Amino acid sequence: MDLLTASFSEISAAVREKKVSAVEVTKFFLNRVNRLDQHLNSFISRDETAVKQAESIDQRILRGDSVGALAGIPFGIKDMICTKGLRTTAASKILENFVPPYDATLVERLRGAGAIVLGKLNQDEFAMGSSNETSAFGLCKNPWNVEYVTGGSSGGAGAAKASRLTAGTIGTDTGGSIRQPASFCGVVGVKPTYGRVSRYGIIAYASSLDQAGPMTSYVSDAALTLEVICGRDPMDSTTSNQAVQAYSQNLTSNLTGLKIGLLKEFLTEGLDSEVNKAVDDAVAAAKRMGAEIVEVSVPLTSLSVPIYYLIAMSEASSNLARYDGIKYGYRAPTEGSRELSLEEMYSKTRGVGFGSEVQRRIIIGTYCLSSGYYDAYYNKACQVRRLLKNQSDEAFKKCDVILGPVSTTPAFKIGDRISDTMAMYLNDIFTTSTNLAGLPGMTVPFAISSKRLPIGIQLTAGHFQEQTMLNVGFALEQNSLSKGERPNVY
Amino acid sequence: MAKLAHLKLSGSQIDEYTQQMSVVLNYFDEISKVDTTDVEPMVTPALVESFWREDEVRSDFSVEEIMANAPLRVGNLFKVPQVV
Repeated sequence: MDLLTASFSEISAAVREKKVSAVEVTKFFLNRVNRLDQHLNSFISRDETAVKQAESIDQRILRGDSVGALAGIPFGIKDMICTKGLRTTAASKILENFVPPYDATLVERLRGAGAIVLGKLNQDEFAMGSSNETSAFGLCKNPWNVEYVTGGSSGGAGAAKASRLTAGTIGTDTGGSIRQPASFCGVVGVKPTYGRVSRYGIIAYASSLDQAGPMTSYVSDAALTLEVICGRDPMDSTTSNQAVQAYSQNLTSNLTGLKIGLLKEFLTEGLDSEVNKAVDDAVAAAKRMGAEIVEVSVPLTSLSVPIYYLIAMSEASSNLARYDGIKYGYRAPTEGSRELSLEEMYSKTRGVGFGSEVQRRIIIGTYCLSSGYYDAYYNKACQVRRLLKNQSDEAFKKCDVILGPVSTTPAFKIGDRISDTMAMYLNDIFTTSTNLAGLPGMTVPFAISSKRLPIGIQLTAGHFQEQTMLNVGFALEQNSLSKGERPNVY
Repeated sequence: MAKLAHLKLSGSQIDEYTQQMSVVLNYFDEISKVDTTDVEPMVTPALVESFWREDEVRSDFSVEEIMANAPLRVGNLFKVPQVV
């Protein structure tokens, strides 16, 4: 079996049937991390217990105990997600030495299904960025061309998956942070419906928008991972108790009877010609697989970026108030023998501990929530968000899945947009409305640009319609023009 | 604003953020033209009714597990600057 191309179900079946041991699988990927990550910087921390975790899976199999659907599958976890006993930094100096005393629910569920945690993956600081350039641990490079960004914020997850440094990765998506790096790195990435995956143990950025999801080689791998990590959690009161379907077993590429919507607003923006062509080719493929194509409209999509940033920054300013240098994290030292006052300690801790993008968002968020501006900014954004969601609900009465681009261009060069705040924010033009409405969305790798950079297609569906969305993704995957293409760092 | 957010910034940071903040807030102003009369603000996309956990006594963490991350401690207490 070729571990570079094997699917999750092939690897876990081979592990269960003792054709390969979980230890061998784990060592195979650890060797790749050791050999290749020097070119990428996709890992922030490695889990020294990975081989031990694998040994315990192998022992359970030898004893005849049942092991889960992900038995022996190594995962890299974005560093926004708490792992018991393993440093979790959010790529920030303020959490540089934070070691969580517990696993996030999704990590607990992965372990319960037999998965191995290989380490923690690079990202933008506190998931605030679209290029992985704001990490306090250095930027992460795109394996297709190391002069280009990975996208973000889950850039380490995209890069590590694309280079096959691990079998699977888990990212988080607040405004496109799984889908955009998945597109830039040429992997599958799924952001589930809000409330589908527990947020317990995920470091909060913008609580009404955050969701975690898998980034994988294949749609079927993402489907299988979702079966494990989705579902109600007593520790997150926003999780839904809707039954989790057997997504991977129900996958079908027959799209007969499905209506695929093309969002008018997505196709009028200044799209790169190669991205535009990839969308056209994906539409043609969906038609061949039996789908009917309809045009739909969500006029407020044009305002999704300002609504998103206003709400995300407001929630972030509140969520990040917890970093005060007292219970955990960085604390500003005393100045010689002079003790700092409480106020001085707070502001020096946060002034040194947070990077500039995080500070910028906290300041703007604080402004939007402050007395006198709350109604004009935060409250107004929440009202427009409601209207956007209503329009989007209407659109999904006319179609099952919306197909479109993930971003206006393929990956851009490192350094190109980092000093232009607005240019960076506008990266998120196609991805943010999904989070605002709480809908599921995914990226399927579909084409390769003339510069040999991947181009993904974005699919979104109605609330809890993950199965339908995955089916369309599965059909596109079979028609993908980038099948068999490999990144340079591989 | 930086004072309200407890962020100690240098003069050049203040200049940089002030300039960027005005660009971003200008951009945010685009939403002011949308008519939102009588629209209920949407603060969460959660479709589920919040639910309660049983109020049970249980032990999730030892004191040491929680204290281990404290930047400054005295025994089992978090050390803070003088407040009063």
